Amino acid sequence: MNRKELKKSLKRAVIMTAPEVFEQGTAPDLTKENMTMQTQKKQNTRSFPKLIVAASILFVFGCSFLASTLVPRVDSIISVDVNPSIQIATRSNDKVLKITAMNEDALRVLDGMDLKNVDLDVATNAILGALLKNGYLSAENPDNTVLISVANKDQAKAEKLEKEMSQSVSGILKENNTHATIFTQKEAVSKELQAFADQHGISLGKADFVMKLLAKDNTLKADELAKMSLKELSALVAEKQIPIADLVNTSDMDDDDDLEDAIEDAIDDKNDAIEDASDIDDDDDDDRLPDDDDDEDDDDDDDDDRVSGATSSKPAPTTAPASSSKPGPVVVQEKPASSRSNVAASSHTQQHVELDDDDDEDDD
Amino acid sequence: MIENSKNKQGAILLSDDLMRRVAEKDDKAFEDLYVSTRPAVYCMILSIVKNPSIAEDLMQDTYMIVKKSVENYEPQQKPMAWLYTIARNLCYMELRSKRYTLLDEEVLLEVPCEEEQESQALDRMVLEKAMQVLDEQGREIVLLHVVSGMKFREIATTLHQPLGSVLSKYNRSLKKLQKAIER
Repeated sequence: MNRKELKKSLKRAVIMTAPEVFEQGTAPDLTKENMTMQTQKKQNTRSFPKLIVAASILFVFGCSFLASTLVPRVDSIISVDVNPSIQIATRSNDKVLKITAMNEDALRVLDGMDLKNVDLDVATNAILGALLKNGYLSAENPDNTVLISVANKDQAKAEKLEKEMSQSVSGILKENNTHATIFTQKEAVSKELQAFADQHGISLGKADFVMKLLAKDNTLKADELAKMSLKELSALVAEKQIPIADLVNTSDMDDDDDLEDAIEDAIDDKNDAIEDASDIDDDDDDDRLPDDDDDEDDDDDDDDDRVSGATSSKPAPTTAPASSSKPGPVVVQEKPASSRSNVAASSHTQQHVELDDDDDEDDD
Repeated sequence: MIENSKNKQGAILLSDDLMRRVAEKDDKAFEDLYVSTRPAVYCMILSIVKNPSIAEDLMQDTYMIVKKSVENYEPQQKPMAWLYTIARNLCYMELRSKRYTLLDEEVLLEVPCEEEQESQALDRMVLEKAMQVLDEQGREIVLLHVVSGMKFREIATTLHQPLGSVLSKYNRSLKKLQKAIER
């Protein structure tokens, strides 16, 4: 039985044996006698003097904030194009000043979202979430394409924002198991560009990309390009073999299956070589294999410990996720079986642990 | 009636919105949550306790706790990861309570009925072998990936393991299982 057949067989077996514990259409009876779960309530205690201090600080900052908002000033314009074209104007502190839907699809996506004064990364998260929710980006679609364009008079800042946005979008898509090709570009804002964008109802970023494509291939028509989705533009670039390496930075995200296959092969090769060299019986404990020592994360400085949001997990006497000052389900720290003796020393909550693929996947 | 978001295959998408509706005592939402997560949760439990009847009990307990504790679910927490945590905690509590003894060589899958087709019998044998020859972690990783479709990164997060370890374990476990079946 090859690996593929084995996996299919396992899947069928589990689905076949997975029991129905509730009848369809009925909710569980919560008066079950042997339920021992206890829920913990959040304990909120507040100190009155702290409130006064907090209020004072807020008042001071509030005045400053008010002053800064009286004269809004656009520092950067970031465009996010999938097919919906969304333009984000931010202040110098990278907080959103204004979000504009450049076409009807974008209006639908934004759906009255109020993202004014939120951090750019929070707004990006919300917009990407909405794009996913509305199906403009989809885990099932292998051809998702996102164009991120950043315009800022300060080139260094434009580059910084370009990189941050790309990473932010990549991260969000990965969390949602969505494959996408992400184009990023810096752009200089000109009146002509603004006029073109306004005329066609597209973002500055897309307008800039279209203009650049037109410069590369004069058989193309501006009006047609402006109406195309990013996916269609990508296909056109590929079909006409238009060189765009000087126009945009592409960052392809391999989907998990492709990456998995490649890693699977590499690991298999390594394990085969080790087994051949040491003549280890298959029944032996695989955890004694040298390559496993390399995998185990015993050091605090290992790559996995650089994940964002990593915090200590808490002991869990109860089975229900406890509500506490820190969000997230309670994790059992006790590890019952010897097979867990070589588990990583560092511990994480389940809350938003992002693995840096470039580091971790090189481990094997 | 509010319809749950579905992907192109028609499967219900787990979302904070669904969890919110479960918290609001929407029975249909709870049913949708149960239907869409049942095989995956069963996988997780079975991979730990190896005993189908105990796994069934624990699965029921899991969903009862989900129903009762859903107000503790924090948005952005990922519903599946939250469910898995509850299920795993229950499993470890059950194991610690020593209400039963796991026999490594004994896997108490249901006795197949006479009408069971050969392919089903083979599938059942494969699952039994997995329960017998793989250690707990290997079972969890293989079942979560193969049956639940979880990505390796998600499994690494759920099990608090480095991605590299998960990948290595997965491959070694599959190889081990393959060899056990071929014997």
